[in-house]
Amino acid sequence: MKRRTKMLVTGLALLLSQAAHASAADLVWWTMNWNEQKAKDYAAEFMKENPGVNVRVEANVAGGLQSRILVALQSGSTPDLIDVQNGANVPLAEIGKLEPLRDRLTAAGVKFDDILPASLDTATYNGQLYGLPFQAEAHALIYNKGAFKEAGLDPEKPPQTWAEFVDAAKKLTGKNSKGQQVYGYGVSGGGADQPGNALFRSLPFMWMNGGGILGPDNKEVIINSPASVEGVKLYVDLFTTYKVSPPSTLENDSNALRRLFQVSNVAMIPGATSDIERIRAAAPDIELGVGPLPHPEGKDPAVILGGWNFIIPKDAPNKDAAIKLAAFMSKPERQAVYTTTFPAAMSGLNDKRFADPIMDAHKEMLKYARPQPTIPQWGQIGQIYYNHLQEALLQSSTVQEAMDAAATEIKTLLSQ
Amino acid sequence: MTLRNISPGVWFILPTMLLLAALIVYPMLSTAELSVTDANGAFSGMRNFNVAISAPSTRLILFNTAYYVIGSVVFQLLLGILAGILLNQHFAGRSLVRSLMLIPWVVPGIVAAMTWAWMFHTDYGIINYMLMQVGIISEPIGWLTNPNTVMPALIAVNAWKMFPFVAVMVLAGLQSVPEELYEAVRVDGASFWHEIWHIMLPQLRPVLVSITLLLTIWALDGITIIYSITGGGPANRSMIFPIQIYVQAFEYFEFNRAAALSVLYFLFISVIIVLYMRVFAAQEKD
Repeated sequence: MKRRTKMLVTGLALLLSQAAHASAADLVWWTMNWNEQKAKDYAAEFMKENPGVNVRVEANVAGGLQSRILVALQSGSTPDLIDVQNGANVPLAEIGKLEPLRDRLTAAGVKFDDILPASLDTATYNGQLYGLPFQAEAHALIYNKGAFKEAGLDPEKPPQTWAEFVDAAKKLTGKNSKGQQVYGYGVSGGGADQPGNALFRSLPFMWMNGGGILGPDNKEVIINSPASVEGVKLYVDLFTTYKVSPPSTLENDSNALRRLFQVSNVAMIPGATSDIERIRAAAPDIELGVGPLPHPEGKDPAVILGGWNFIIPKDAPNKDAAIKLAAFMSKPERQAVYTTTFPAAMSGLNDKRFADPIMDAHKEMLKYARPQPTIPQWGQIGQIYYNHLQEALLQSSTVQEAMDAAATEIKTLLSQ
Repeated sequence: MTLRNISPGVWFILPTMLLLAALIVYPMLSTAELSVTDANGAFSGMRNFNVAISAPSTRLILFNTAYYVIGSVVFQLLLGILAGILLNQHFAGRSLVRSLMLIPWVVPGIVAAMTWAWMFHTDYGIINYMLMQVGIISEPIGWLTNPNTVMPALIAVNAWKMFPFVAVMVLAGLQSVPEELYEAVRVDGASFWHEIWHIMLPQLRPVLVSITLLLTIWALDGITIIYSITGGGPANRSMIFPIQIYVQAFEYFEFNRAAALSVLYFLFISVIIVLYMRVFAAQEKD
């Protein structure tokens, strides 16, 4: 009995000492798997400047990210600094578990007037700032210059208006010189990364036309207004009426569309600068052109502001150190490296990484970028819109009927 | 009853019962509680149930779930019984074929689902490519985008995934069929088909009854295949209850409504199982 008790006690002591070792002294930083190496390098630099702080980097995957963070916040045992999509920032702030950051970050030396104002909007709730943007991005039109030449279009003049756009897409659709079937434009109507992908690609059509899903107060439902329906109708018609989008449209998310572009099956797709890098890596022979997203005659382009913010939970054990780390990462030169697209700090755009003229259209589109509505029901609203968009693409209802049905469902949802 | 009078067997199963209580009973009661409260914890009666039942997509989801379960189980059984009977025969390379047949079952669900999604893709999928090369079709078929073909395609994947399990069980069951039965029936001039219909299947009945119940439960619970391939789309044409519950809870964060859907689904499955046991367990006793 004595020997057994001794072993039990030793075992218990070892266990407890382990628990005490990985304790509150570690600053835990939740980053994304594609940024894990960069985060670790910056963490090492930060630890050199701040001896006594140990930063532990943990990588997340994009799938289920928001619910994983939500669970961590609700449980009370949270990391200290988290990378989160800007669309999830305010919904997480609304549950009351995020630390307001403006004053403490200003004291730590963050230059807020250098940050893209629309990005700051994605972190603002009830007048308080609950996140620090580090990445901002907007779609532009990526096109295959070779396909343009073969179709008799000027490869240096991407379509600017909707009329030019539909005309170009029609001319691009057909058999190319290799006998391969080519389609003019990739509509996203399905696949895995939904409803996000379809929303990012079709909501701008509504916005540019003066419509949208919700009105400016986020209470009025305008998804079935004439301006909105006209925008959605163009998006749907590209597949159903003009047939310039491939037959697989209802199963294509952004990854599938990029793959089709890479094999020259689709000639124009919307995408971010990260898509340019991936296309160049996978299909270096394709001559890439980038232009602004086409807009209705006489109106401005519009696009959804994508991006990522740093957030700090209210229950984080090392808030002061986390604020320092966030301020450290907010330096434009660091954002310029850490971002997969563009930094949220506008001066960071001068970095030589973004000097390639192919990125000019994307920089231009940033000016027209608007954040998504930041109400908690937005995820569900996106899904409702997406379901009815698919009904319209399936042609089981007209676009007007589909948007009317969506409007009814969204109104019911908002009233609950 | 003193401590000493309690049968020792009770003490042996007590740890397991406590574990089961913690891991199964507590979450069930917790879900039931969630289903009758609102987001702030206040009692809301049947409201969540009403919203769940009256949602416009509920009828389609119910139909899809029934379609998926019945289709999957029927084809899993058919393919599995066929494979089991064939692999019970003697031929060269039988062990190799038996091992290869297990591959669909052991491949992880997500891997299988992603691979099939790529194979079924309208434009770059190998299935359309092969069919068009051979000339069977002239236009690519939208397997996963056409509402008429999406459920059959998903049922095919599910049947492919689970038929090895049925085959293994059938094979095991066939080992216990006495050789005299076959000899007796061959003496009377029976063909192979008679052997299957009059000896193998009746002898396999107990095995098939239990397997069918298992397959039904697994088909009712199965999220992986449909969620990974179509996510319930297009436009809810392949949406089934388990996925709807998951999406409601973990993508919209509406835990109360998801709990109500869970309770309803649990009752639905319980009814099926009770009926099943009544019909087949009762016949067993004859």
